[in-house]
Amino acid sequence: MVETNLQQHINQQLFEKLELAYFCVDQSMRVIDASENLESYGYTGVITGANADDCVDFMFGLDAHTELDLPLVESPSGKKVSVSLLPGSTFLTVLISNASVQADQRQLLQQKANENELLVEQQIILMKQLETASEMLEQKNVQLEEASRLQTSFLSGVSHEFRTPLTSIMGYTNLVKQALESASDESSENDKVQHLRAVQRSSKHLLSLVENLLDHGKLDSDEIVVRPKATDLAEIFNDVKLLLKPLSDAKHIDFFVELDFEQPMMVVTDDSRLRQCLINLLGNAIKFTDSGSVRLTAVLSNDFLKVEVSDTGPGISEENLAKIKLPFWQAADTGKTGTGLGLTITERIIELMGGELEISSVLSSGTQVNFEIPAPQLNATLEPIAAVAPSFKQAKILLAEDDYDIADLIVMMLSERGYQVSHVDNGELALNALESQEFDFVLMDIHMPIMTGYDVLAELQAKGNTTPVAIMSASTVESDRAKAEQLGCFDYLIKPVEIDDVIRVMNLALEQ
Amino acid sequence: MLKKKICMVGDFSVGKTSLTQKFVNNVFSEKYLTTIGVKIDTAFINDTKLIVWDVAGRDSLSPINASYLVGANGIVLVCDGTRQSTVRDIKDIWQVVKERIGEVPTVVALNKADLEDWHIDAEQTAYFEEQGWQTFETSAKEGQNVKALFEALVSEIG
Amino acid sequence: MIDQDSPQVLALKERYKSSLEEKVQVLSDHLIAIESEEATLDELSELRSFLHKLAGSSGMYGYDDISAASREAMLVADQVDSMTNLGDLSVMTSEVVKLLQSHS
Repeated sequence: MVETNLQQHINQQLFEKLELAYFCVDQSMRVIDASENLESYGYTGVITGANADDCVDFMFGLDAHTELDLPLVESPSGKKVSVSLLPGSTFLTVLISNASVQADQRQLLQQKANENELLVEQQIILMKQLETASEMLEQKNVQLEEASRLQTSFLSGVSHEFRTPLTSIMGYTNLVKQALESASDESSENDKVQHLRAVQRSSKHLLSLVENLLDHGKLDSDEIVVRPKATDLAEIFNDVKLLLKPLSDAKHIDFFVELDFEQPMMVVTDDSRLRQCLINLLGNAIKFTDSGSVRLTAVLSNDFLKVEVSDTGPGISEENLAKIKLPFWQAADTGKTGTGLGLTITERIIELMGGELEISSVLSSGTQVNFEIPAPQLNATLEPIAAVAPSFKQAKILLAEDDYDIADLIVMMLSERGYQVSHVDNGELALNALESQEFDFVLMDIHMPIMTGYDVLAELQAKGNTTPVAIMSASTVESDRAKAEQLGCFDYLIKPVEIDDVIRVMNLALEQ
Repeated sequence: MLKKKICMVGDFSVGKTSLTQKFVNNVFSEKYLTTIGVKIDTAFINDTKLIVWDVAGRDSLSPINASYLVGANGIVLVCDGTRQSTVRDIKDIWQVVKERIGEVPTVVALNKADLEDWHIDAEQTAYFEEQGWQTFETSAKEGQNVKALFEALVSEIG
Repeated sequence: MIDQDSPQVLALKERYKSSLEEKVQVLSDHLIAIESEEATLDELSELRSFLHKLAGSSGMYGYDDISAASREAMLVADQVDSMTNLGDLSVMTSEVVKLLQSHS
């Protein structure tokens, strides 16, 4: 009895300490006994005869003969409890004890652990993104380095290309200077003229290099313009030949020029653009050919000019052929320098002139570059028109006009009638031309950049230059005409001018 | 009255509690509070009473406690569409489920569909199809497919 | 006298004809510029100078109507003394644009 009391007492203490609650169910899960303190966990209605799963949610789906521990179940009161199902031979006891202290500790730990793990995952993702970003930066860096390398090699190429013509100019200028200074002038006048011509050719070469540079800036914006005009084809090719011969001589390679047309040969083309293209193509051929020859052939037939530049150089691989027209591109392994712009620009100019640049090459046997552009032949045998007196046929005319639409038409029409026409596109150039050359007649626009027609007339008057000047102006205002006449103009033509009027006025002026 | 026991299982922080709370109480909280042990809620679909066991997620310290699964009629496997590892882990979790209670009707929730850094494609969910599980892209935040998920499971249970 | 144009002159005429479209664009740009609220006298003078050139060149290439219209517009431009009174000039310039379009 004492023992039983002690047991009861201990049980009582244990129950209270653990806040132990319980209920028992029979085999059909009906409640047969329940402790009173179940309600403190929010389990209400657990009374004898009730279905266990109707009053205790977690009981649904469980049976009376499976031993089961359900730790940390949230009870309806919100307290975490530990649930133990203890099956016996005739009934199942369900023990419920307070686990909130344990739950709180666990909650803290678990929350931290999970948050940590989420952070780690996040970090791994960030690291991967960082790696990708740094790879991209690396790539970008390589590209920038390549760009900077190209730019550096471009600059050194430019300096190199400029050195050749500059050296030539300095050399020939020195020769002329020495000849002029030396008391016993041994060199003939002819020599000096030859030297000066060489200077002129090299200057033109320099100019075409500068144009290449300027044109490159215009490549993207499509600003390159081609201005065809009456020009002597033979002169262009002969100039180019004389200009580049020294380069091929220096490398001990042969340079052949074969022209299949008469000389002179007047055609309509942009002579400075054509010159630029030929210099670019031949310059390349000579630069890359170390032995053998470079050959330039030109054929004019049916108003088309066919040009081919072939060399016996190292040739271009198929892979490089695809890249060769890109700006700044230069084959890395040739050890040659240059701007890497020549072909890019030449291709574009040929395109604008109505042709197409074709390059074919066989590695280690040479390269052929060719193009075909329209070059309408001027009919040199055209009978001079009757209105032009024979003596005026060779009259030299200066046309100053900034509108190329008008200038080209006048040049063409006058050239066709046998006149020699020089064209400038601003007043200052007109004045320079009149100071350095003799002209028989000047045809001048009023509204021009740098110096207007009025300014030129005033200067001429001041200098006592009496070359007859006909003014062309779209202005019908009488005061404009009066101003021009006061400044000594020979006649005042209202634009649009008729070519016959121009010729009539010109003949009148020439007769005087 | 028909009753069904359903267990929500999956990795930690995939949104089991959020899906359950959205379904049961139509509430959502951005705050992450990890579930300890299990939380039991009830809800109705038509005249079926669902007893939803929101089981603590699996993490590196503790596996799923399979005791909670005893007597379950259906399983909702939940993973986080922005964390590929939670999709991969479904395989292991399913092994635990299968060993304890056998192959019961199951649906899958690819949760957090409202987030931008979604990383799941068909290749990663191919396993779900092999198992014949209906898969839902869910958002506990916006409620997308939450009801459909539970309805599908109930009709699978039959 | 040469009754017919040589192929070279014909080529120049073709070139001019094909430039009409571009001239439409340039002139339209000028028109937009002077019609804008911040238009300056510089812009007016650029338009005048373009009309001046057009009067000359279009006439030489046989577009008498364009030449006459641009000359008239140019004279109107000369009368403009304030950027707030451009009504006539706009109308005249639009007329030139239309003519250019009809030939291009």
